Amino acid sequence: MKKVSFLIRMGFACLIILALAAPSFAGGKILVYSPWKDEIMRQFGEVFEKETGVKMESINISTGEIFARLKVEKARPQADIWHSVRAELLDKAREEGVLASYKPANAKDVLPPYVYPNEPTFTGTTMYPLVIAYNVNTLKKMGLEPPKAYQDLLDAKWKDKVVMPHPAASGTGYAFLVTMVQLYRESGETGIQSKKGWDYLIKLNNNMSQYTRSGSAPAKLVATGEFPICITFYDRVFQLASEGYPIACTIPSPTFAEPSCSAIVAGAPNMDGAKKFMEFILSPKAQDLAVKLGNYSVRPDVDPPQGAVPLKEMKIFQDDYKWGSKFKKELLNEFNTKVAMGKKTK
Amino acid sequence: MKQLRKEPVVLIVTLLTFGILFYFVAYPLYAVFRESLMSETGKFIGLANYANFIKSEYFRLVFYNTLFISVIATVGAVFVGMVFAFGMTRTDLPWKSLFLVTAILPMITPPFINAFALILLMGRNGVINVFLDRWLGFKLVIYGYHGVIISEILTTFPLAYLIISAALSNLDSTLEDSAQDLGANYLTVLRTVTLPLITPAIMAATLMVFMTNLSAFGAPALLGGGISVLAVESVIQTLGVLDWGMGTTLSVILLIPSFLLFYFQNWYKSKRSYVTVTGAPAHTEVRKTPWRIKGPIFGFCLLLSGIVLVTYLVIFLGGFSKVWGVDSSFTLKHYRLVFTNTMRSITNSLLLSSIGALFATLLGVMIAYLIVRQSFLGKKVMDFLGTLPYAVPGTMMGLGFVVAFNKAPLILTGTAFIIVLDYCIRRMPFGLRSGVSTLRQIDVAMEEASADLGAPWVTTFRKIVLPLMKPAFIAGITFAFIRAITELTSTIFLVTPKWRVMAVDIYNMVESGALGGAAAMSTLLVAIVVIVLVGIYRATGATASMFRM
Repeated sequence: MKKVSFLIRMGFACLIILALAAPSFAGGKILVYSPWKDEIMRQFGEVFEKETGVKMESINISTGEIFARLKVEKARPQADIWHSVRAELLDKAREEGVLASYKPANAKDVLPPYVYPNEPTFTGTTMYPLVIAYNVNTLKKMGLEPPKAYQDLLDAKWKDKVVMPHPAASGTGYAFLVTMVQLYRESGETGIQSKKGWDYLIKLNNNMSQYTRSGSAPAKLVATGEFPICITFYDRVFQLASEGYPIACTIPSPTFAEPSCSAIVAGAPNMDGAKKFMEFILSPKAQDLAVKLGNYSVRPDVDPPQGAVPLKEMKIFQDDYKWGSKFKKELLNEFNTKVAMGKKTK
Repeated sequence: MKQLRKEPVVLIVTLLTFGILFYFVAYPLYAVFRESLMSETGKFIGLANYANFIKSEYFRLVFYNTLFISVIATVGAVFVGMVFAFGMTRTDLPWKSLFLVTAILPMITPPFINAFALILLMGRNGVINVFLDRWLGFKLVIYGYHGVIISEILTTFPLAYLIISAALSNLDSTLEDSAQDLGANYLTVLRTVTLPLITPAIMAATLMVFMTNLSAFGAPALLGGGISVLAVESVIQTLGVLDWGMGTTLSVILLIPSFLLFYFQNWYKSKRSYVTVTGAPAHTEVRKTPWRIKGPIFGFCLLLSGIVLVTYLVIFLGGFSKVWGVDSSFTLKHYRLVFTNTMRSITNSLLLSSIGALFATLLGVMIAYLIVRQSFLGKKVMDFLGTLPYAVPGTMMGLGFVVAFNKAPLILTGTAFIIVLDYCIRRMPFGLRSGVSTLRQIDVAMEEASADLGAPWVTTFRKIVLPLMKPAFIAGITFAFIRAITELTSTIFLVTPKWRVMAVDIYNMVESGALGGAAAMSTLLVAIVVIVLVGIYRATGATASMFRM
């Protein structure tokens, strides 16, 4: 008996502790939602605090979850910054009213295609091209040359050898989908029409072993040798290679190279700190650090990552992010029914 | 009885309980349903999402996948459970304690943990495949229908085992003896006496297992490869595509069969009471079984136990090997990372699960008391709402909390409260059930005597009812804790970066390919559960009967 009422009392005590522990932000601190690893964000946080005196906390969750969370938290925003997300999704986020308007002054130093002058709410802050990555050792053992262009991936010798993230579950996968559909679209085709583009994806499906749910999984699977080839963003290849994994990549032409952007959350608890972050992330110091971690800088005066192909040698694909945002549902439905569900042919 | 009803305290407690049930059970489910009738921009669009579901070839395939996988996995799990149950209760099988451990372990560990183990064993870099590839030049890859089915069988057969073995041990063995004495051989007795008598239990097991498999999330998410099922698709649509309308629609569609099956099963159980023959305790005796019968059963149980134990072994080993399948040298790196980066998840899991389990049990036992001991209008409704969370798939409940509590008057999303609430509501039916069965066995005369002697209701409740219900309370709280700390399906919607929990962390690590870290954390989680269980068993002598819930 005593025990039971003791338990009840303990329960209430626990609730009170929870209540006290829950809201503890504001002050000289900003909270960043970012799909980047904690370890990387911590390095940015150190420099940010040194530069501005504002503390930075960051939380590592996938892009989709960040969006869902911002929608949920709209009535009572928790985060100040949404970091590393592409324009196509931010376009939708702006419509839903989860972004605040702010153009950093530093944007004047940024390469023109990354500024998004017509978008009041976000600015491109780093860039990493979409690449074809491969496991060096596995290909050597198989005696095969790495694929150099998109069409090379359709070769029958890669049957069940390719892996990419599912476009419905990951931004990386979606970037590849919109690239292919737009790239092979012919004049006269509108909406999500693109006969050659969809044909390409259907043929690639023959060689696809798996569509993963996580955007970062394919690079990891290739690095550890589970698969020889994957579609991934460049920064993951760079990071895994610098950890010593036998992974390398080719940059197909033209390559998807939309920048990853940052934006301030509407009603950010620390609006001042958030603005400081937007200026900071475009400063040479932050850009240098981003480059060390495998990103391309959006500033012309900062060199590309060590050993990476410089931007001017790449042919950049002209992506229409408004289109990718508008037709998302249709594109994914078409992908699910026509591509992923399609029978694999010999 | 009458004077109990006049107590104002009882009235308040009853109203309060109703309030909780309506606001935290009925309202979230209603909110999910309402959301499924909305467009992305929040406009009412009627059944358009449902029409899209039916029209879409892809979603139809997802629906068929769900049914196909669940049916096959259920048949498999019930068969395995039946053989186990028969071997354990009806034969003098050796090594019974080993088999008991095999049947209990999957019940107390996260349901997706064997899916993870299967990846370690038979993923493309799994140990078995590395070996096969080296010596025979091919691989047996686990991803696909077969993988999901195998994993679900391993997860749910213990449930079938528990239900069927309970029926078998209540069965009067003299019936079988008489049949044998009358000259029937072993198999004839089995076919004509034993099997018909336990048919209701097999039926109940089939329904329960089928329900569990329908709403399974972990195994199809991790092992499906390109295959999706309703629970998984609901999460993808909500968190990946950000289409809440379709996400909620899918979870409502998943709710319908689960809901019908659950209440059909309850109805069926209430009909079958005549099967337990007489009121007198059954006379059960383990008979000597010929080896030609016992042999195959023993072999089967041994094989299965082997598989189950190997899954736990690879998870244990996985936590200590550098890069699974590539570089198997010993390392403590994964544990170091778990303790430095995700210590919060561990403490969160312990804290939130304990509080959730405590409140789940308090609430459940309170409802049980009201239902059994008090008479009031709407008792049936209270019983229904109290049991409902058990019949609702985890994805729907989780979504419900998000949709219902992300706006005024009560904003809970992003806080720890919503996770505690989820644990509390989802596990309340356990407390309720164990409370009801305990109370039914306690004579009401004691409470009446206390009331007659002038004790107010509160005193009677505190001094008579609560002490008598202590065993139910402890069993309920233990079970609720274990189920809460291993819960994934509903929590996946609710965790926030600040309030992460172990089960979701493990799932995310497996998904992103960080197998070593996932293995280390899984090992810790299994260890926590086993320690808690053994601790409570030692301290209170609570029996394994708590698993019957």
